[in-house]
Amino acid sequence: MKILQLLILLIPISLFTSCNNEDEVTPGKYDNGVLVVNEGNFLDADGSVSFYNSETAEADQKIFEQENGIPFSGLLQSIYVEGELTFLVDNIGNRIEVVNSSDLKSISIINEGLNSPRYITVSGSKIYVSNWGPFDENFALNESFVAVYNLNGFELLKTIPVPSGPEELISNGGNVFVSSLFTSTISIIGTSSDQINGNIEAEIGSSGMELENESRFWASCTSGRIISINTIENTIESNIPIDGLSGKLSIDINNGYLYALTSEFAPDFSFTDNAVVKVALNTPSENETIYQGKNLYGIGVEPSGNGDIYIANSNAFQGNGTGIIIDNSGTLIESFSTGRGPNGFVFK
Amino acid sequence: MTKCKVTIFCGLLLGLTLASKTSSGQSKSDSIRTQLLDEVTIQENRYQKYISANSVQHISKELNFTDELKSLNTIISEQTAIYLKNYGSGMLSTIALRGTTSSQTATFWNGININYPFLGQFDYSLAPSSPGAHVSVIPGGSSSVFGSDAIGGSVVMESIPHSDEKVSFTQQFGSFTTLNSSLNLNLSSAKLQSVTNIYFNSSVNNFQFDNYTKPGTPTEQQENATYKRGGIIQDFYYSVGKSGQIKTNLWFNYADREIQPAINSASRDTQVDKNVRVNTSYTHFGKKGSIWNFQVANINDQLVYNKTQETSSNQVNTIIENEREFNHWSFKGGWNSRFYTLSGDNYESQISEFRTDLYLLSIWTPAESLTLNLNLRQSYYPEGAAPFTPSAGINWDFHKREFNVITLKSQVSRNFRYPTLNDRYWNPGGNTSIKPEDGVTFESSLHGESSLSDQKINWNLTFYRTWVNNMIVWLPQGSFWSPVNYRSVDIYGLESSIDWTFHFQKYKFLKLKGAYNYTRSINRSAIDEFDRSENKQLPYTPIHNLNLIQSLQIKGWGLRIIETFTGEQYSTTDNEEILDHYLLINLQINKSIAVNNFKILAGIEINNLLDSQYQQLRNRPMPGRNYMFTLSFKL
Repeated sequence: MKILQLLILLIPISLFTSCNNEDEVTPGKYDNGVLVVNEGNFLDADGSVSFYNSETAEADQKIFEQENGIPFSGLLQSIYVEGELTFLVDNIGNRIEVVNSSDLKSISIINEGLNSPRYITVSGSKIYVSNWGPFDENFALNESFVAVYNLNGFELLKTIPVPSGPEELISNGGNVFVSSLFTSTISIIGTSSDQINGNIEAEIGSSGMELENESRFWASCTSGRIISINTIENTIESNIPIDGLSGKLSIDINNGYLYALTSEFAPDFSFTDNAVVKVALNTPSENETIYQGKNLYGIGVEPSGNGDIYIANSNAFQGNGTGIIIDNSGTLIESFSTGRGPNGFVFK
Repeated sequence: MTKCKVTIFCGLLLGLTLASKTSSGQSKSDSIRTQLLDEVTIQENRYQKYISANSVQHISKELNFTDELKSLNTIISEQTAIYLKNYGSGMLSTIALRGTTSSQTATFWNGININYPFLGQFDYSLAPSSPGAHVSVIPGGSSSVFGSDAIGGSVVMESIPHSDEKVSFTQQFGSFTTLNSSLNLNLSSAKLQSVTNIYFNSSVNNFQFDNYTKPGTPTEQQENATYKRGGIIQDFYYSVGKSGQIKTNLWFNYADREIQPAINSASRDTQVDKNVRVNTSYTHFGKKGSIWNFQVANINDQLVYNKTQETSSNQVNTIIENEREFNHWSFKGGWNSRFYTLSGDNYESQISEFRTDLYLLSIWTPAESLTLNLNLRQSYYPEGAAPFTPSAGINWDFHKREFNVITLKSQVSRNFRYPTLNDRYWNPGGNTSIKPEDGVTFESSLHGESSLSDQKINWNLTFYRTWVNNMIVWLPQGSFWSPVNYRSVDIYGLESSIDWTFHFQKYKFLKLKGAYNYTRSINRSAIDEFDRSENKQLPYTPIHNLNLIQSLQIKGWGLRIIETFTGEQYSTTDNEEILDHYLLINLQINKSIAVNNFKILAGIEINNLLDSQYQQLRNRPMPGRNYMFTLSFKL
């Protein structure tokens, strides 16, 4: 979003300078398009990044490997773009690859202070990384934390203990909100002190979270609830029950819709439908299933223009996956190949 | 990914020089010829006569003293073109016969299926190659004889009394701080024979590999792959009167391994396996060619993952069978029942399950060189009857001369595999209404044997075609995974082998062996319209497998060179990700000396001579060139 606004600002400037300036700023190879986050299979550690160009409808596979000469070799859980820096989170290698956003070439690697890292957000000049931490002997997560790094130089500043299973994070107005897959608490970290200065009693299993505007964000909770939180009061505004939410969601801010992934299963396990549920942000109790498929593992809404919805079909990790593009009434527009276990999209 | 050196090793070429010699065979060479022919017929297992297949591999015949300390997966990979998948060096090793999965091969020990009941498969890195056990690998569907799991084939281990040395001790020292030891005792009196094997293997396993995931491909040392395992095999054979035998077999095995992680992974997992297997059988040789066999066995398997996650299963197996021979007929009928109990952290409560099989195997010999067999078997489990699994076969020696035999064998069979106890009871996701997998196999093979005064040639050519349905695949169902009878697979392939032995003087022989397997195992199912795996080769199933062995023995010296070529394989169902082909060469020199009553043997091995950087599982490096020194004392 921010990048797009920045580019729009640059256009009139470049028109003035183009005549007398010989070295123009040419768009980088990966500046316009969609990055696909391919987790990879846990056993094979074959996480990768794909790049989809919606104009040419062509997908490039393994672009990290292409640009750096070495495979990613890890489980790619998430990608976060902050200006010229793009962060690739390796969940099983306990590392974050920091690369250049335009050409994906390696800049640095963060190794310190990570234990099963998941998602990132940036607030001011600091990076916040959610970490599951180690499993105890009963396979519970009791040592989850958020690791804080300096955006310049990437040194570890602090680790903050948080409730079990933190997933996505939201940065808003001097606070970082941290989800929790195994509890009902959304923690609030004050970025000036890097301490938890509040909690929101939400629903169990908050996972995917996305900002609607500067005073509200939405979360999909695996206990079967879509909730919206007012960040001024730190209270829950809407709380909608929807069965089988997987925790993945994406918001179309321009048109006022939220799309969440759900799954239903027949009691005899004969088949499960994965579905995309469309929720109107102003009247969230009105929601409808607009698309059904199998193994839908990620979702993202294209922020500009039509608000096309990108869905990641993981093919149950048996082989490489597929990116499916539908319009906001669920009609299939296009599909393209991805890597193994695609779980999300980053739009540039 | 680093490429391995693909140098086709042109070893010794096989020269077929038979033509001129077929009709000679004078008396001087008769004794040698008889000796050579005897080698062929000695070691068959008791099931073979009911199976019409030429491709049975008798592993134990080919071993020398250095092989005694290797685990069974290494032995099978070195001696045949059969593919075993190793999840790292010294780690879990599973077999894939004729393009099938690791759980579609039955592993038999003294008549008992010892695949872990909760996993449905066997770890061949945990089976030593003990001289007290005869191992044969029988590719091809054979559920009519072996019951559940034998869709791709069976591996049969039978404890047999052997006439080797009374005492032998072998010690091995190898690269990466590898230590292997084996002690064998073979004691017998008039009525009782006791065969003992105590084995121990350990390795730090910190081999070096090229880390291609870091800039500059630095050489690093493998971490978290150490292992130690050991056990005792004790067999007693007791003659009861003139017509009975009691056999008691005990196999205790313990393994403590760190699990080799993928490159750069921070996982540090461990696994402990504890197995206690006890079998007692009483065989009575009655009048008029009737043999009764009664067996009771108890198999206990325990797996502990990361010191805290435990799974434990117990199997009590009872068998009663009778075999009768008439003029041109023989029958074997029997009843086999198994009672399983299962407990562990991943099951809601303790589970028990009862399964039983009834079978009738029959052979008819209408003419001297023609045999027909018909086998029927029906198995039952708590959900009802398993698929009925008959088989029918024909053996025909259509060309039989004094020194030359060519045999044609063909069979057709229906085979099945029960869902594993994990498929049925794992919490969450287990489903007791999952159906067994089932398949139909047709195979036809030619086998030729030619023997002359100083040479012997055996060759085999097998063609097979298999259809498997209801294959069980674990697929995500919302927040957990669950098994589904989802996949159908079409398999066809070819197995070929040739074996030439030439005795050129009293204590000298040269042996050349070659085997080639071609396997096409094709997935016929797609999850949805976006699944690109339909009509593609199954993952981790190489299409080409080649094995060549040259061995030369001159008095006390021996030289053996083994080349194994494994073709390209895919690591995903859509065949979009490839694992490179690779060539491995193992070289061995050994010497034996006789001193008074005992023999001392010493051997040096160089394994992976070409230092290939190969992988069998994506991102799991395997050791490069490594060395092994063996010393053995036999009395």
